[in-house]
Amino acid sequence: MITVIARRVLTLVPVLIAISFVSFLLLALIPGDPAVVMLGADAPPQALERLRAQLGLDRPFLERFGWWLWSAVRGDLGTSLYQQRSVAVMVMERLPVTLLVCVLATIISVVVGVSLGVIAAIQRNRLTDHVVRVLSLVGLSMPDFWFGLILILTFSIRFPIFPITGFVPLDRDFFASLQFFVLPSLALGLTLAGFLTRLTRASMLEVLSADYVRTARSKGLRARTVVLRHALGTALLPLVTVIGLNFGRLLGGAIVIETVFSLPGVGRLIVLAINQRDFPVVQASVLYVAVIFTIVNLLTDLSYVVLDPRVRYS
Amino acid sequence: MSDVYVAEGGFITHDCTSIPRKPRHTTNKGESMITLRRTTARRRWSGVLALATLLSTVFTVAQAQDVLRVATRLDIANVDLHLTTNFDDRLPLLAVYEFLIGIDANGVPAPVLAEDWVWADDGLALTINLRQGVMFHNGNEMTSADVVYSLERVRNEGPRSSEFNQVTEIVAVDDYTVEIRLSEPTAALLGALANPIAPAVMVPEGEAERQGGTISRPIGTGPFQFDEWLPDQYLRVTKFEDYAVDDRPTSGFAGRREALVDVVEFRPVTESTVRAAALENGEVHIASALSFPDFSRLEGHADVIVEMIPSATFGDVRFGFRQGAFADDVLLRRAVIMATNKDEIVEALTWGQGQVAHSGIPFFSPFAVGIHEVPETYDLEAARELVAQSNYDGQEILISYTPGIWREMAVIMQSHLADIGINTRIDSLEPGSSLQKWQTGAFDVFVTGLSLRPDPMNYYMPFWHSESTTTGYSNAEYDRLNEEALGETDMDRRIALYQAIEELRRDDAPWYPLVHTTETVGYSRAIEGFEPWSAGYLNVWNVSVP
Repeated sequence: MITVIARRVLTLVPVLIAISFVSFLLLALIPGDPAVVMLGADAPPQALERLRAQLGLDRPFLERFGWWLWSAVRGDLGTSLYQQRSVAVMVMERLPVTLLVCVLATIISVVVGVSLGVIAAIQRNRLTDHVVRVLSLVGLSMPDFWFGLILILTFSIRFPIFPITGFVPLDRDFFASLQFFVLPSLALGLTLAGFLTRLTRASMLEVLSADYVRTARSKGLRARTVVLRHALGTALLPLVTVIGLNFGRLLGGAIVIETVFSLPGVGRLIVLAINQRDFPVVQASVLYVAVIFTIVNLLTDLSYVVLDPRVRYS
Repeated sequence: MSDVYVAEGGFITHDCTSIPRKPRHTTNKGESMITLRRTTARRRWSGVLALATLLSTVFTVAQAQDVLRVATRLDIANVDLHLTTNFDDRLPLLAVYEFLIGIDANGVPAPVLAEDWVWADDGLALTINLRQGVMFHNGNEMTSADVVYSLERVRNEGPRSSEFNQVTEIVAVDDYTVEIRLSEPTAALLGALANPIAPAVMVPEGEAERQGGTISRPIGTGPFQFDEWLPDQYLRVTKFEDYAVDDRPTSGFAGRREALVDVVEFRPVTESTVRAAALENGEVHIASALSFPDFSRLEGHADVIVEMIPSATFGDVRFGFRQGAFADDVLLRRAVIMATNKDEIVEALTWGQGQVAHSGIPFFSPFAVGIHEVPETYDLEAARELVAQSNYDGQEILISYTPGIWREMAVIMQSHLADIGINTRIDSLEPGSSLQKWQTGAFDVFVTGLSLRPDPMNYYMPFWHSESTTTGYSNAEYDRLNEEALGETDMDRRIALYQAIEELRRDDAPWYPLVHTTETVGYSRAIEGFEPWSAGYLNVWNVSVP
């Protein structure tokens, strides 16, 4: 088991280098020059030249990537072109915000999605099933940023429960900070829940018609025991992969939702950095997000061992 | 980010109630349906309301009375104003820093930290007398040494260094007198000192070096001092107790600017709808740059005033001279201008609240007289005729633009050009790429805008003089007239020269102005002293939260 994990972690290295290279390449390929963005349309050419040289932008692409990689290996991700601060610090300040939104949204999507899916499966083709189907389709087809705005209009204006500006940092006052996470997590979580509902229902129906479930029923076990103890565990297995993959989608979706809710997360940092052509910040943010996503994938794979006794890694 | 992105400012102010409203699409039937829906909604929401009350007691944060909270569009990126042209940086920080000479409400240079100024008879020296007893936030008094240091830094390191080309020397005559010596007379020096883009604000001597080369903790002389900046969360400034109040009447950045609250908190909120929502539920007192849907939703609101006023910023169209069909074809350029229905753009883009821009300088400028007030001709038939006489052979023309409101202008322009048989395609770019296009001149035609600048020279010269333009435009007469106007210190002769320049612009048609956009701002009825300004800056000074 340990060797499996070690091997998987090692394979992350080339993956991360490849991701860094691609994002570096993309930034080099798109037009737009940090010096121009920093100095603006009025800037004279001499000032631009001076700044370019100062930022090292006049050197060839591979040389720049080489330097970046070599520094990154030594743990130095560079400083922001704009703010003259360590990008590692800038990203780490914001990462908890993005992660918390994603984790809360995952929890919400799983709790809501699985419960509705199970209920729909049990009540198959009855009114409840139809209602759940409509709800999940609404969730599936609703853009999260739009739903976010609806939540703001409802729970910040119509019923002023949650504030929408004036974010309190997590490390200053955790509970005061939490209130800023409720609506964004709901916006992301509930839109994702629709998908999980559909999936749980399908998976559950399949399991409920399996032989061992019939056996359990014929033993005279209570319906609830059959569903929760015998069927649910098996039905959830295919969901684990989806939840892991969803996390990646959430990291992407966080960019939009952070903008709508003015949350100081990594997503907003990336968007701003791309607009400003602040290369070191983009590189570091992409790297951190890639690390998180690959770790979540690894955990997803490993969780099978725990959840399904038939799966063995060797 | 550059200044060209920014829509700002406005001149005529009116209370929202007096603004002509668009007819609302509500019929009697519609209204009754809304009432019905509301009743059922109320029943459904009663449970939520109970929960709401419970939660809000849990989550209520105590908020002090003397805090003024402002929702801005974007966070600041750089607090070293000498080096940044980004509008969103200076929007909050011009409450912390102050000009020697700054623009007044009409965009004209006026003394701020200067007591007054005197020109030498030969026009080769400007002597500026400083106000005495002005304190920096570090506790030291501002003297001529600080002024010389700040001006030298702007002149040597700032992105607008070329505006100070004629300056040979900046000398401290005594503690409260500074002399700026010139190699040749220039009328634009006052404008260069007052230009809010990468502004020449006063910082203590040696401050940048003390902070490691660039300024990361702003120290100015303004009514508010820098307290804390948490990126993407807030920028907080506090009242500066030792502020030297200027007793002259308030106008723009000049005159009395007093801190009447203890704290101002600027919160960056990207979405206009969310800024409006935060204003509506009382989280912020001022919300800048609201979109029209949010403006109309808040109109007549019990707690909020919204104002939409013509901005100092206007959109303009710039032809490319390095590539494309317009480069060598003045007839085609004139045809495009003649086919542009500016009234329609005002209607479509600003819901009739903006204003047509006739000339290359804003309508309120003291220079905007004579030809500057004459509308450019709109005549489709004549435009079609011009296209027929031109070299245009049906090729596709690429319309580039600066993202934001200018994109919509590009789209309207596309339809105008279709009317006279010119094929176009919109060149969709994000901000960085678009700026790169402008900077390299790699475009057929470029739609963008200009925010408030203090001198007519700023509008006509840097972008179009053959030595500094990125477009490739070169016209000896245009260069000569601009150089002459720059060196002319007599106001009447200068006005005449800028009329000649405007005439030449209309004739040779390298670029043309479109419309003044709008400045849309909302603020709480609970605050006193706030007044929207055409220049787009928010006066957080002289504002109280009773």
